Amino acid sequence: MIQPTLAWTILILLSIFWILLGVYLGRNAKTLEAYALCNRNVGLAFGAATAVATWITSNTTLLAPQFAIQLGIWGMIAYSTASFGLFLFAPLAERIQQILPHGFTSGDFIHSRYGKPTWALFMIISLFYALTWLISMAMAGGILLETIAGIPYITGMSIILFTCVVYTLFGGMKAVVGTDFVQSVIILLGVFIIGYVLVRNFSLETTFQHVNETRPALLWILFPASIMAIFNNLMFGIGEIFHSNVWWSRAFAIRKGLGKLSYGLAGLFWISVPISAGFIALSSGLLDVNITTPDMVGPLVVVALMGKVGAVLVFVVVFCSLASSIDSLLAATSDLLANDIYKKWLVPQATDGMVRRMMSYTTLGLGLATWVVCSFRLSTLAEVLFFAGPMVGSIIWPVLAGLYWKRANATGAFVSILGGSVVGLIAYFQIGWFVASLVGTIVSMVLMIAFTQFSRSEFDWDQLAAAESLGGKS
Amino acid sequence: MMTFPLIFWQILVVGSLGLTALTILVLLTLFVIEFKNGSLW
Repeated sequence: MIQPTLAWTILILLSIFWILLGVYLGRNAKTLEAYALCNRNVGLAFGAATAVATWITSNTTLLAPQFAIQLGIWGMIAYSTASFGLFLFAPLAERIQQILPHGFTSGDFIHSRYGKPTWALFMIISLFYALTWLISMAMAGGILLETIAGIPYITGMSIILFTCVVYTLFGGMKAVVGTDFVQSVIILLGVFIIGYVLVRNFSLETTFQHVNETRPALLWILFPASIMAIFNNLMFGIGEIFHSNVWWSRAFAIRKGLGKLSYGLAGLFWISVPISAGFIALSSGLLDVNITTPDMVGPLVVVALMGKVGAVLVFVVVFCSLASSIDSLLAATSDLLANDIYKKWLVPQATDGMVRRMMSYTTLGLGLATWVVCSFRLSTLAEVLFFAGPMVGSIIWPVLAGLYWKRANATGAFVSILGGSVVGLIAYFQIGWFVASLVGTIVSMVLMIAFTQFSRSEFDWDQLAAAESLGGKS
Repeated sequence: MMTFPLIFWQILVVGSLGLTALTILVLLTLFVIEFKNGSLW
């Protein structure tokens, strides 16, 4: 698809560029607050861009065209619903900033709000999700570079992972947020240029008529299964964002008062990407593209349309999509390990300096562990991420209730996370992946509402603000 | 002849590409404004 020499040159130049940029941006991040949360002072441009870039994974740029070619217009629209997670998190981000002014992680909130047993259950699910997402992204990187550029899997995977680990390690959150901004602009520009060139070459009417004649079902298709898939993906996406420290750490890092606007804008910015990246697949018939594997339909159409320039664009967009998600996961997960496992559990007397150093070690350790697991190239591993669907779905309501309902209590949160996860996983194996998150979310919702309804305790919100936290003044 | 599905298809694609272009402009404008104000981070 792209000449190996050209691919190697771009790969090396991009890697060096991200490392230099990240290390430069994070050069002054010496304290824990600066390194982990950019001194809680991220503005609107970086705040919105980092959320958009993190949520645009390699799946968004490659799976959206696949959805379009398999499920038609509704496939692209279904994928776009993943932006609802960002929209719905916007008011939560504001609430989080208000009630947890010194908070560091999503674990901080669960611990202070619901106590240790619920926190332990939450941490197991959260770390499982974060690690499987990280591993699946690094694996996807290796596989994609091999498919697009012929770069051996182990080499491509190692270079992407090494690049992200180095700049996250030395620059912390500042490096992640700064590079995310540049990466988001590159991804959006690449997607727009490709779409624009396509529309200039084939009018929308021509593409529509061709699809209407050859595969009319793609234009108006709505199977019951795809409706279920839409709701299931929606719940999975909301669950991912509501619980994960990737999004909570950004809520803490964004300047007070800008959380809601940053996430709202991010949702608006993201919603068009799956459609802009997906609709090109419907032109594959006009270009006589021979689709060998459905997930490669996007790159194949672009190369058929734009030749070498198109191949370079695809390569750069895919690289940026991968890096912008891997770096965020590394930073947020090392934050969670250092703050919640090391400080809260293992060494409660640890100083800010010790936690700051521990974050560096955990970033490095995470990178190494991910590399070791990825080197085995277990193809079934990516599917493990889907197990997380019902589990993260079952955290949506405990998080929501914990943020807004005074009467939400620890027992209710624990039972609803556990109950939702168990029943959701049973649905996964007994019915299918397309209902698991939905079932998990509904079961946990019913349990959470029931326990809150019968609860007599009332939580004092000031307890959260006063809770001792890393770097906090209390 | 312009049918509803065709109009829907055109609105969907043009709207998405337009929103993508607008996003780039908004992000860059915000960056310039905040950079000048010294409020990027």
